[in-house]
Parts: sequence; C-alpha cells; structure tokens
Amino acid sequence: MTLAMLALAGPSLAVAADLAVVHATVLPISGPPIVDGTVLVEDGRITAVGAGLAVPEGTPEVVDATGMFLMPGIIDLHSHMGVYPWPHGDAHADGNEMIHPITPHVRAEDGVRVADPAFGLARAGGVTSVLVLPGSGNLMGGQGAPLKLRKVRTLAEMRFEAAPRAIKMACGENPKRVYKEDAMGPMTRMGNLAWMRSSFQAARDYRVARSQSADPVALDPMMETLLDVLDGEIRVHVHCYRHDDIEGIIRVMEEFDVQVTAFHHALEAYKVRDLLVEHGAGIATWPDWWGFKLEAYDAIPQNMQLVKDTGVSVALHSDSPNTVQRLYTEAAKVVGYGMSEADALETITLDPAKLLGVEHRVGTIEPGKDADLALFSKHPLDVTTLVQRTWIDGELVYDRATEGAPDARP
Amino acid sequence: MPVPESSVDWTRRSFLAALAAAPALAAAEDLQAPDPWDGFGGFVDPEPVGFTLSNATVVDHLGRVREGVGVRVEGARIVEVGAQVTGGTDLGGDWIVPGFTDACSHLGLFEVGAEKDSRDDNDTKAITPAARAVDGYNPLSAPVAVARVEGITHAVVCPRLNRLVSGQAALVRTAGRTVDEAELRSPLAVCVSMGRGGLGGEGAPASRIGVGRALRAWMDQAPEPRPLTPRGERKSAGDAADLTAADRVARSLRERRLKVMVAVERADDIERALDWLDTYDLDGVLVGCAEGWMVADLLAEVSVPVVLGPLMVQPDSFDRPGARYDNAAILHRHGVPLAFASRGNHHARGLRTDAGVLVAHGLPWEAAIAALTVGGAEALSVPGLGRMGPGGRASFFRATGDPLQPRTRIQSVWIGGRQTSMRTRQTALYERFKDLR
Repeated sequence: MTLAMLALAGPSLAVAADLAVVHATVLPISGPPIVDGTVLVEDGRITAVGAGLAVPEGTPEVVDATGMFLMPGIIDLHSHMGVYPWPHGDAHADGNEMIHPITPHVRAEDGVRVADPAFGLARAGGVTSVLVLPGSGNLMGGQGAPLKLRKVRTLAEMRFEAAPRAIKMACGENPKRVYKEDAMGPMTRMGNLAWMRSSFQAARDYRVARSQSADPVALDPMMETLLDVLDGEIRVHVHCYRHDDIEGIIRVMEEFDVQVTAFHHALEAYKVRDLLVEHGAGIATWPDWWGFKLEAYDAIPQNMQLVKDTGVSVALHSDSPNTVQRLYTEAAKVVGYGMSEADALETITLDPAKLLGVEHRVGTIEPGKDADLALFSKHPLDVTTLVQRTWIDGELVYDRATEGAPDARP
Repeated sequence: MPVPESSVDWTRRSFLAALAAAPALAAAEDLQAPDPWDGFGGFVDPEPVGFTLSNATVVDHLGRVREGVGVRVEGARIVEVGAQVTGGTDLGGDWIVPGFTDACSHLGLFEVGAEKDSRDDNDTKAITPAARAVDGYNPLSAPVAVARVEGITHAVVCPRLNRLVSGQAALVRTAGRTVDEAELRSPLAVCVSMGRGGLGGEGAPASRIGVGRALRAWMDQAPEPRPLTPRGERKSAGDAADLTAADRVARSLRERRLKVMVAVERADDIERALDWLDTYDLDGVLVGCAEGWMVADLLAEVSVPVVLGPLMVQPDSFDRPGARYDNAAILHRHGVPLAFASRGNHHARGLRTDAGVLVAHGLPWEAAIAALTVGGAEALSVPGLGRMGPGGRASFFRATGDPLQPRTRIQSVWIGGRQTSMRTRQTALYERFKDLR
C-alpha cells in the first residue's frame, strides 16, 4: 500500500464523493487485497482506498459489495473490436489496409465502428480500456487507437486521451503470405526485414531532403509517421511469434535506434527472454493458444510466467472479441501453469497499462487514478465468477442487475 | 441402435504389448541418452496392471463428490469405489474424475491449422458419406497428448464440418501408438452440416435453399431400409455388392444403425434439422445449436442430444445473432441432453475450463460434469464411458481440485486401466528452455 493510501485512510477524509463502493474485497494490484475495503470516487477519479473507511455524508451512490471483489478495470492491449465489427461480413473488414506492406499512416480509429456490439460484451467482462490495432497483414499496418469503452456515440468520446500514440508492425508469416504473389513482396522473412530497413532509411532520407531542399518538399504522411517512430514519439507494437523473429526485429530496430514497446503474441518469447530484458521490451500474449499456424507451434503455456519472472511487462491480450470478455479466466489459466495470483492479475491490469503508457492513470486502484473499476461476484480467478458492475471514469457502464447479460440487439 | 459393448474390441491386439516392450530395449543401450520412447504413443503401462488409489475425492458422472474414497482397478475396469477401499497409493485428498470426452473434435486430423500440407480433415466433394475421419487420424499428433494431459481421455473425431456431408466420425482414446490401438469405434456417426457452415467442397449448394434440396435428395435416393426380422436384424439377400459405399452408409442411416451428427447454429436451421431427421426417421445428434435456447422446447420435445462448443456463444454473425452464454443453462433446464466439444484441435485442452465458464452463467456444476464425462458417450450411444463405479472403464484422471477451475492441475491420466504419459511436445519445450542455456 502506498503512503498516499495510508494517509487517506486516516480520519481527515475527503469531504465529498459521488460514488462509494463499500464492504468489498479490494484487489488494488498495487498492494495486497484489502478485506472489507472501501473505494471512494469523485469526479471520475479514485479519492480514497482502504479498509472500513467512512463514507462521506451525502454520497449519492453507495454500493454495498459485501462478498464481492473489486479490481481495476481490465485492459486489453490487442483488440480488433470496431475494425472488424459484428456481424462479421466482407463489408465490415476495416482492419487491414493491404494495398502495400508499409502503411504506417493509416489509423485504426478511422475504421472503428463505435456501435460494434462487441464493446458491450467486453464491458460486461470488466474491460475498460483497449488498444484497437490494425491487423497484421502489413509490415507496418498503421496506428492503434487507445480507447476507453465508454458508453457513447462518438469515437471522439471513446479516445483514451492520456495514452501516447501507438503503431502496429508485423513480421513473420502474415506479411509474407499476403504479399507473396505481389512482385514487390515481401515473400520471405528476409524480405520482411529488408522492407523494414528500407522504410526507415527512406524516412531518414526524406528528413534530409526536406531540410536541405531549397524548394518546398510535399509533406508525406507515411514518411512523417515513420519519422515520429524514429524520434520515439510513437510506441512500437510488433506482431511477432517466433524467437528468431523477435531477435531479427530487435536487430533492425536497434540499427535505427528504435525502441520496441511490446512484442505481440510472442509465443516463443520464452526462448529469448534475455533479449527482451536487454532491449527493454514487454510482451502481449495469450496463455494457451497454439498450433493455429507454424509460427505458433512451439507455444507453451508457461511462456507468460517465464517471461514475467525476468521482470519485463507481460500483458495478457485477447486479439479476439470473444476472449476479451473473459480475460480474468484467462489469467486464472496462467495461475494453473505456475504464475502467482498477484502476477497473473497484473497481466490484465498494470502490465498492459504500462505498455499502453497509461500506468499513471489506470491499472491499479489508488487515489488519483481514474475510477475504472470492475466488481465481481466471486474472486476474479474463480471460473464461476461474473462481473456485476463496470465503471469507467466513475460512470457506471455495465450493471448486470439491471441489464442482464448483454447481447447484439440494438 | 446402441452397439452392444461386447462387440467393441476394447483391449485390441496382444501384439501391441510386444511393441510396447521395445522402448525398454532401446533405452537400455545408453542410460545417459534421452529416451526417444519416453511418453511415445501415450501409454506408460503396456497392459492394464491393476492398482488401488485411496483417500481420494471422487467425482462421479452425475457430479456427486465424495471425500475419503478409494478406487480399485482390475484390468481395464473399476471394480470397487468407496470408503472401504484402502491401501495402494494414498492420494491425500486429490480428486479422481472420470475422463472427459471431446464430443466433436478434430484432434489428430491436422497438426498446424494454417499449414494445408498438415491437414487431413476433409475430402473434396460436398457429399462424401464414405469418407472416414479415422483415415486421417494420427494418434501421435502433438495436440492429442496436449489434450490428454488436461483430462481429455476420449474424442469423437469428426471430419471438418464444412461440407454438406463430410463423412464418418470415429471414437478414439487419446493414447495409443497405432491407429488400431487408439480407435474404439468407426464409423460412429455420419457428419452433416446445415446452415451456411456446410457450403464447401465441389458441387456444394450456394445457400440454405440448396442445402435443404440436396439433403432431401440424398435421403430420397438412399436404398430403402430393409425390413426388420423377428429377431430385430436387418437381412436381405445379396444386394450389398450392388451398393456403393456411400449408399450403404445412407441405408445404415435410414435403418437407424448409424447416427447422424448435424451441425447447425441458427434457430431456423435447428428447426429444419429436426424436420429432416423426423422426415427420414434418422437417429440424430445436433452439434452447435448456438441459438438452441430459442427453440429449447422443440429440442426437449424430441429429446435430441445437443453437442455444444461451450464458448461458441458469440452473437458475431448472421448465422447466430442470438447466441448467448446461458444457452447451455436454458437447454439443461428444458431437459435437453448435453455434451461438450472443442470443435477444434489445439484448444481441446481448454474444454474443462470452458465448461466452467458456463457454470458462471447458470449451468449447474453437476450438469457440466455430466456433459464432459458421459455427455458424448450417451449422445452417441457408447456404453461404459465416463462412469466412476464398479464395471466402468478405468479411464479417469487425478487432479489437485475442481477440474473446471483453471488453476487446478491435472497430475495423472489413466485410460482403460493404463497410466498414460504426461509428456507432450510442450513439456519437452518447457524442459529445454526453462533455464536459458
């Protein structure tokens, strides 16, 4: 428990709150579970956390959570909700601009269908923030959209404004499969990395040309985006399964002084977890998916634990509008394969918050953080638990008691 | 019609025992070298040896949990279960659970999803009743062992359900060095897909309208059922030679000697499937039924078993806009017999925890256990599987606790009285890389 929390647990309490959750077992992630815990919220932020805190008089919403468990809203670092909305159909495929292997300038938020019913089912799974990414057909597929799953009608209201920019890159099987029939390629792993090198080099050349040319040089959105990557202004997320692909991406990125924030999927990360530590990258992955493609054949369910034990961030991601609804059960699987409960809960809260660059705002229950909360009927690692309520910025965005189970109806 | 158990050759050939002796010889030559036979083929015991486990928490197929109970096994069968059974291995309260059956699986039919050269899971044409899943089944395929070490002891292996009639399913156990040792029954059922799921293969219809027409035509052209003799047999003089293999399968369906597994998702497809089964008096099992809850009364009325993918509950397409997590709970409340299926391969190991999720959504825990243990066997009329009592097959596993909880670890798996290996391709990778060297 932090000093701030202890201080606020004293008698000189905040004088007002607009939401209080009382008598919960609070799983703050930042410290051990708090039995008979109270969480106070004002203006969308958490103001106090502690055992048996007094609720300020006049608090309009007091939730008795006796027997229930309160944890930070769950964060999914790899989602395609909105860019492949339900119902599935050709006309809803808006996540992969596969006209060229390098499309860093396209933006996932430009393809998000705000009314995708999958968002509602994710809220009923306690999910409050996601990084919506373009697909992995391209080597540089475009910029991700960090979103909060607020119940709103516009994309602008969904944006997680505090999150830094993110770009999705890919290597391995997908890009070489997509472009193997195309004269420009890539059709091999060699081509994948050659394309990455030449793209970064082109951006450097563009910068020189722009600064040295006497005549105005037209702004090229693709090159401008790559320069932002080279300048460290955009977090780099790379779809990458095999250990030698991880090594190869690190090789190329270090040639251009680019920091990778996270390798996504990273099913063979356990084989080169020392390289992740050296480079300072985390991973975002599944607990037990494997075998759906050759670069997923060497996945093992201890991958997350082996990597987490090195100290780098490990996010449990869904990459699926289905799995995102049960990330807490996915975390329980990791416990079955040897990870501690505390570490497992971090993989769906604090670790993805760090990789998203928003750990100062979300990922734990601490005073000052956004009131993104999920209230569970039982411990979240018990498979028979259900999310009862979800709040984002202190707003109730899901209530099982009044809404029941969400469905795809308008 | 159920096949009598005596007609199933459970123990198979004795030469397998001789084969199983080979590992010991190979290993003896160099005790330091890794043993290539370690875990190979799944069975550790070459023959059922008989054993006693005591002080266990024993679950039966109805989900009844008894603590401080022992289990005595002789040969391939359980002979005694109860507090009076003592001695043998003290399990210290660990759970003994009947083996789970993946009731519609593609285990063993492909190694890697996206690698077409590793796939042996269907034939080319839209209607191939004579195609046999067992012809594509590789008992040494890596996903088979990965499923087994999570408690899947048996699987109904179906050809991929992307054909109108994709062929014959087989019942296998998830251990065995040879196809012969793994295979328990083939054909077990014929797989049919309605809705838009079955529109693949040469000559496939283009829509539901074509599906209905083609399935009626298939049955209309099938040889008439032969009359039943007073002894309940089907006999006719020397016509078998005139029939194609496909015709014989179709006739077996019409004579109710072979089941038909019909994959459907949407409510109207379920209604049409029931109508087709009724029209041709077929012995059917439905697979999928994501929208089953909408027509639970129709399903209950005819008491057709439903094989569910527990988490195929997403309202994500025009084929199942009404899918819900509580589908299984509603069907159970209506008395519809349930079984669970991975409908896949690599994820078959997740079946137990997927079933646990349905408990969160209202399915009684006991019903989930029943669906995993005897659900598949009862739906497909296979006796003796999944039961935890005297006379039952000694196919069960030892676990640290409730098998539906993800944190529970499965420690040992026995199939037919024989201990199986807990080694898989994945445990080998873990051992290789748990320390970086």
